[in-house]
Amino acid sequence: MELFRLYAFEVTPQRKIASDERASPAGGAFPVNTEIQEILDNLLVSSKLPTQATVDFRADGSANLQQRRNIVRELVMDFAFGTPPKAKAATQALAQRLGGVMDDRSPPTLLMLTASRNGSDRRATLWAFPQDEGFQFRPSRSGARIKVLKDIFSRSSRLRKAALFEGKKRRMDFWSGRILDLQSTGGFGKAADYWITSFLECRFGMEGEAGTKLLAKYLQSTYESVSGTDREQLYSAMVAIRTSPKQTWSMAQFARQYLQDDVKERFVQSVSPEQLNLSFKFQRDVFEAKLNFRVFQLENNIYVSAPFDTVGDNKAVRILDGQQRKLRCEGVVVNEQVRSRRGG
Amino acid sequence: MVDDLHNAYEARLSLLTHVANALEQETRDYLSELVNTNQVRFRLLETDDFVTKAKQSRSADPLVEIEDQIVGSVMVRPDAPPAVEQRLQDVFSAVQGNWQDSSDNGGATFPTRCLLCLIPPQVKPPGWDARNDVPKTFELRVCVDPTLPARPPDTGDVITTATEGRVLFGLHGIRTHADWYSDLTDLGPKHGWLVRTGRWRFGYFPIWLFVLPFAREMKVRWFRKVYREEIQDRDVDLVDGQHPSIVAHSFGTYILGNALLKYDWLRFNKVILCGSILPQDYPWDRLIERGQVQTVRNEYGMKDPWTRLVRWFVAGTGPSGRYGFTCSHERFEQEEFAYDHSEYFEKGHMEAKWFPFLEWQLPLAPFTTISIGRSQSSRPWVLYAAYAVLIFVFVLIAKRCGLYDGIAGLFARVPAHTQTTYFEQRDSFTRRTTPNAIYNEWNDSAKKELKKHLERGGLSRVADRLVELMDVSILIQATPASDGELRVGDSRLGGTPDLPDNISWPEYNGVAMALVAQFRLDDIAAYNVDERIPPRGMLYFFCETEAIMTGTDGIGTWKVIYYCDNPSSLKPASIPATLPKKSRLRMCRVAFANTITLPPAETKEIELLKLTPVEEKRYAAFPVYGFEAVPFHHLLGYPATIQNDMRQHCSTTWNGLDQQKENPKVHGTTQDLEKSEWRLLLQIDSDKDGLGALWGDAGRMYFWIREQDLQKRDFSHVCLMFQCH
Repeated sequence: MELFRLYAFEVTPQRKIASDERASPAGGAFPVNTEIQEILDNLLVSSKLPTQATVDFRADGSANLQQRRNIVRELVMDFAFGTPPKAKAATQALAQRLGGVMDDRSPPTLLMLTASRNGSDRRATLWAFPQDEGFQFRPSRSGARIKVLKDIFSRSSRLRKAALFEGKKRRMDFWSGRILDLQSTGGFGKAADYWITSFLECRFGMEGEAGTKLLAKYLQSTYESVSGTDREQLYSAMVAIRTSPKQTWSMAQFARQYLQDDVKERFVQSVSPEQLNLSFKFQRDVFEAKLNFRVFQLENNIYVSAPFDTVGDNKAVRILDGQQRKLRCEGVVVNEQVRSRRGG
Repeated sequence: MVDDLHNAYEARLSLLTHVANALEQETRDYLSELVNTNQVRFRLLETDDFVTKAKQSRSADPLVEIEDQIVGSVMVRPDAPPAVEQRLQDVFSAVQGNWQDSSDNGGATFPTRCLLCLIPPQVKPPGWDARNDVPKTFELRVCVDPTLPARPPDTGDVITTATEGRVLFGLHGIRTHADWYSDLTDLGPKHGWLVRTGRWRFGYFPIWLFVLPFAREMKVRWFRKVYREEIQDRDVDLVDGQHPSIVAHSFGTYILGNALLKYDWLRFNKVILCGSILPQDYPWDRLIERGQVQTVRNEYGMKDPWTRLVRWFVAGTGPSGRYGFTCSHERFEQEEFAYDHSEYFEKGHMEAKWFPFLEWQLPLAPFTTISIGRSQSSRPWVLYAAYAVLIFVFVLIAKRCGLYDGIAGLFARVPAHTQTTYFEQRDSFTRRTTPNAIYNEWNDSAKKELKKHLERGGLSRVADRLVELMDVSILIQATPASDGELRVGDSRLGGTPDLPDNISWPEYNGVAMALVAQFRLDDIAAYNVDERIPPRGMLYFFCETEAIMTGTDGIGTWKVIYYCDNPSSLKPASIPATLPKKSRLRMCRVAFANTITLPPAETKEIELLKLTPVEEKRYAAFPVYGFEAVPFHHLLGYPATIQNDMRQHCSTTWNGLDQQKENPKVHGTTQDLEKSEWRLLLQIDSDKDGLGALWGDAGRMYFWIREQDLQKRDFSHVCLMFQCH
């Protein structure tokens, strides 16, 4: 796609300032050159933005949904499709809006808006790069010089955020997009509320990969918050969901099916209410990449599951390679349980 | 223009149906605590309605912009809408909603709240977002029906028993609307059974259809489909080893009996038959031994005239509903009643006879693979006589009217030269040296030619849809190469690879793998339609041929390497000592051409076309690969399968599942979707003269890759399958 519009603004947190007293963000349009296009293209690829979690704009804002509109969507469409004056006004409004939802927990941010086109298709990308500090090192004849730079915006910071919307100028386009928010490690969480909920006025439209990652994340956090037999229960759940013939899950369904009592409660509490009932297609490979457990199925329907760091030569769980792959596991039994293996 | 729209809409119907079904499941799941789930229905906009709307809207892109191509309706009582709507808004992204005073819904009118929602990602089939001809929204209608009965109190008991496998289906006969279902549905929960009848109504089935073999066969297929849907239904929560039970009456017994013989993966726990029209020698004992059904009860009536007469009119039937079956087994019981054909459906009879039988506890009989032959049923001589009379009368009239010659012409055999012509014209399907620029022209003409041959082959009804399914592949012609004939980096099959410094010859368990193929992708570029494989670089295929021949193959015994850097840095690799001589393949130079392929007959794509039995036979005989190249090596396109569809096996291979151990629940549902992600990357045939290799009994190797991996140029998850005769 051809990048044809680039705007950038320095946005400072202004949530606690009365709306009529907020300063206009500094910035505006910038010429598109090859270097910046290349950097942004690379960033798009390295951030895997087109495959990140999906979000949908919330319509109307009221419960009755009488009007099909979302103010941010309209601004984004004005930016992507509008005339230059309209696009300019839209970007200023977006920058102003971002400042208005950021509080002092967030550093000043460089909001960069790009629009690309390919025929009648347009893509609008919103990047937020947080302010950071860095060292500048310059060797010279009189000796090297180090300078502390305090006004740089980091394009690789984990606090960076992005949103991508694409489509044509139609009634039903630009309602869904992709978001990147590394701050909350899965693209979700309260800390990110200002970007997704307050700024973009979006909600999650969960996809398989995102949902599976989220499930793995919540399982991990629940696992770390419990001990003993509760951990056993979580182990069993992890083993069972991998081989369950059912592939579409929600967090609530997972909890209902596999967890009980305190573990179930803790797991449900760790999930944000908005995501509890959103279903997603479970992706086994994503799940296994995220949760570093190895689960072995032996003959006679025996399963052995072990954390990665316990598997290997001279470790508790050893794999003996030969004509037949064999598993040897040795250790002191500290607990045992009898239970059904559900979904297996 | 209208025809184009009509065809374009029809072409996507299976895709939209898939999404509608998934949405129905989702919605039912989300609303299970608020409404009866059988009050949730999804349907597609009728084609004619779509065309009308498209004309009225004058939108540039109606396939995308018509917003209610998928419509769901939820029937609720007047007190339910706020909670239902809130729940729907929680789980779907609604972009607009409004009340309509009334809405036509199956003939009745209801106050309706229409929500326009975005199609959520989890119901979209692979590749949906990449298409530019699919809608982004669906409409959900919450219809208020004051006449709707109150939702039964919490059905905790029923759900509990359903999860224990207590699921009962009903299957009715001809010329009825199955009123007895309602009594069964009333009684079921009282006895702890979840009675499922919604999908099991096939409507009023007239007697004239009943005598037509194809109509009966269609019902057997319908049975298979509905069984799958039921097993996949979230409300039917059966786990491994648990099967549903069924009550079948009259024609329902015919459908059930024939389906069980035809599809051995169908499983039932308890079977109750009344007014059965199956032949008396129907092998229930063998089905029980096979573990396909656990227990059977046959109720027959001494006053039933129809089951006594049916065999004279309909093939494959018999008087088992009048005299019982001849077989015996400890799990098979029969009882005679002074009933006529339809007197089995009193509530008292169900309570006294059916439910005690359904409670009969026996250990699970495991499934075995014994084969079962067809019953030796008598011929429907009366029907044949009627046919003979009809034909005689028809011919007589035709002769009198001078139409005989014309009619006789219709039944004439297709001249033998038709087939010859087909093969003589095969070049029209094969593009050998034409530059890419005229690919479209070739593609169009190949499609036209294919359509012509499909029509000539008696497949006119589905010709357009088959042409849509057509896929272009890159045919590989291999000729043994002499030493020094190939330059470094040249494409080849077999022999030794030319590798860059950073890639070593792959091994498995210390044994070097044989090179199957090496492709310089520049060579293929002219045939690489839409750049489905990378346009530049090198692609190497290796495998441990011994493992394949001995059946010990698995992940790790093959490797596909994509090298995207400059091929000028390649060097001929020296043959490792660990590569057994017998594993090496003879080096062949290769030439490429485009050709067309169609899906093999046993794939899901063809199943979705719902071919009639006659069309199935015709398609099986149709040369689906546009030519019969021997040996048949090719990249992309559809595979020339020797056995079954391999895609599910690919999924299970990568998921580490044992395909043999899967239950039917897995087969029809999610894995159908998953397997559709797999596409053929390379097929290598047995080629004794070229590669010097014969894979088993004239077998073939198939390298499969997931579509998303191919798009990402990630060849690390390729799956190798092997099939032979």
